[in-house]
Amino acid sequence: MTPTINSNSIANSIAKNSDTLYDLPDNQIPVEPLIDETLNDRFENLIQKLPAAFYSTDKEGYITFYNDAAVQLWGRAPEIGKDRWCGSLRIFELDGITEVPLDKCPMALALKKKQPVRVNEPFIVERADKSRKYFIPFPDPIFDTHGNIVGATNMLMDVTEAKLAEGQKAMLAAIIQSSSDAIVSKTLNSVITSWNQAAEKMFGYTAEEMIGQSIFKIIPPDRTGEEGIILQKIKKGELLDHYETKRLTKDGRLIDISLTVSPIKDSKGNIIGASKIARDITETKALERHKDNFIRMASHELKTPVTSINGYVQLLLHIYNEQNHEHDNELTNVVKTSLSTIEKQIANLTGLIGELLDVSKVESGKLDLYKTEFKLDELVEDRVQEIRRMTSKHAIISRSDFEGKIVGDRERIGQVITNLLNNAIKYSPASDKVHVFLKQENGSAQIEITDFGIGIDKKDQQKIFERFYRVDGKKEQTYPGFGIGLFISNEIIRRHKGIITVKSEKNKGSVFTVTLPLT
Amino acid sequence: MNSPGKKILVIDDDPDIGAMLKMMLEFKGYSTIVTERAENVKSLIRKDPVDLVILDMLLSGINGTDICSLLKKDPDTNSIPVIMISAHPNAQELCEAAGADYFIAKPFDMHEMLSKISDLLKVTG
Repeated sequence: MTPTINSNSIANSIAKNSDTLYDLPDNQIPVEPLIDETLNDRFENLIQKLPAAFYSTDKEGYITFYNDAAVQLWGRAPEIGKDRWCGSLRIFELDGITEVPLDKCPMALALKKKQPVRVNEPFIVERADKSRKYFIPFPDPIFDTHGNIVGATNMLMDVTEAKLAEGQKAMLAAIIQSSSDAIVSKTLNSVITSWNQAAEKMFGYTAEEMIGQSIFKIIPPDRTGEEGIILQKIKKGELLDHYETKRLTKDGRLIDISLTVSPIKDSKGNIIGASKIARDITETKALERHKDNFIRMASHELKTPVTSINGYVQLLLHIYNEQNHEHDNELTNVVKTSLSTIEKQIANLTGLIGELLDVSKVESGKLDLYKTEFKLDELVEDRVQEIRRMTSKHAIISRSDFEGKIVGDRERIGQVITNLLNNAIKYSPASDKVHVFLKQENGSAQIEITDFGIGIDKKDQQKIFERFYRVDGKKEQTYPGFGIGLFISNEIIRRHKGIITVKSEKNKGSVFTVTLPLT
Repeated sequence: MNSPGKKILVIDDDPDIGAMLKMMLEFKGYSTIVTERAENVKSLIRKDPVDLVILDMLLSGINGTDICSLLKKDPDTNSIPVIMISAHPNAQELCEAAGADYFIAKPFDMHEMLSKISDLLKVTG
């Protein structure tokens, strides 16, 4: 919107009150005499195009002139000769709450005090659409040749963007300062450039003590190698996410932290440093240790009674089997069947206790392997024999074309074979056999376990290796299980740099293949 | 019954497991001593020499691995085979590091236990 300026131009409005304008001493605004009309037009044009808001009033404060930028700022075009002091209807102090009466606004003060008014803080105008803008006013009175006030000019600098940016910066700074995570920035030479309050609390050093210092100050001597690895990642523009490590505090304590480090880039995208967010996980780690300890002890406590029950049952079965069965009667048969069932169920229970413990180990990355060199065919045969003792329905038909040794955790690999054999039996209730085939292929040993059971849908074939995953479906849900056996098996084989794969067809059966590298 | 005369010392703080092992071993013809306390194991063996030791790892205040190391360091006892047993996870490494000749996880399979005992006694004659 362009205001009407013909008869209300600043020069004219002032000329009405004065014949000549000239400089006044001290701090009052110098105004060149403007007589020439062309010059006057040029002057008006110039002001009109000023990016800063500009307006003038007569000595009573009635607006006589304003430019486009002023309309932009106020969000309205004031009425010449009617609107007084300011083009905006409401002005507030910086707090945004305290309203400044228009007759007390800086322009009004400049007119009343007959001197320029300069402010330290921006004011806020409420625009016609109720939105708000920050501005800094520069009102200056204008005097005639006799020193009488004839009006005033006011330039309003719109500082909204700077103010909002400042606000955002302050907010970000406040977030960083009040964060409970330590937030630290450093150069690519590991020199610390910022250090927030949480960092002060976590590591015990103040920002003053740390800014300009090397980050090595908080890295324990046995972990100094980490910094090089972290910087290498950062220089490549990569992020280090939730890396768990330890750091040293000022009083010499080692604390567990989770570290996220990301590159800091300049406006051209060059990596110039790194920001680190460290979370103190000492308590979480302690809780984890308590949990691990609890599960270890719980597993130990559960296994101890099972040990004596199992021992007695096996002994009784052994004695029974060594006896002469000529005089077997119904009672002895019942006893034998009962003992066999108890033995089988104890094996199940032991397996479940072990699986629960293993899940906790896999989750905390503590599934330790105890590697030795052993004959894989012997292990497979041991496990097959064990399963044969437990199952009466399925014939386990085993074949081996591989007699070499492999290096691995014998117990753990045995656990995988047992798990796959148990699954093969469990999920093929209508069948009576399971094939086990050990062979060598492309520098690997392969154990192939084939059943002729219910099979697995294509969509479930990869998911069955996920933790707690159980195949949906009326039939499948009737089979017991935790849904963790394959998860653990997969983890064990993965840790041996091997792989478990599955080929399966619904209602035909499944083939699980364990591939283990030979070197 | 086989292996007559061979004597086995069972050290386990759980009396039920001790009694079960005793019954199992005696059924197989081994003479068996069971103790829940391991403090005086060396004097026990000195007084009444044994051919094999079955040793639990956690013995209510004493670590079976320490007992194993003690037996394996002493020239008088280091030739006696020791089978360590435990329900504790990750026990195998600790037990073998302590010099145990074999480790069997609890709950153990009787057949594995008996065949291992028989193997170890054959080797040592």
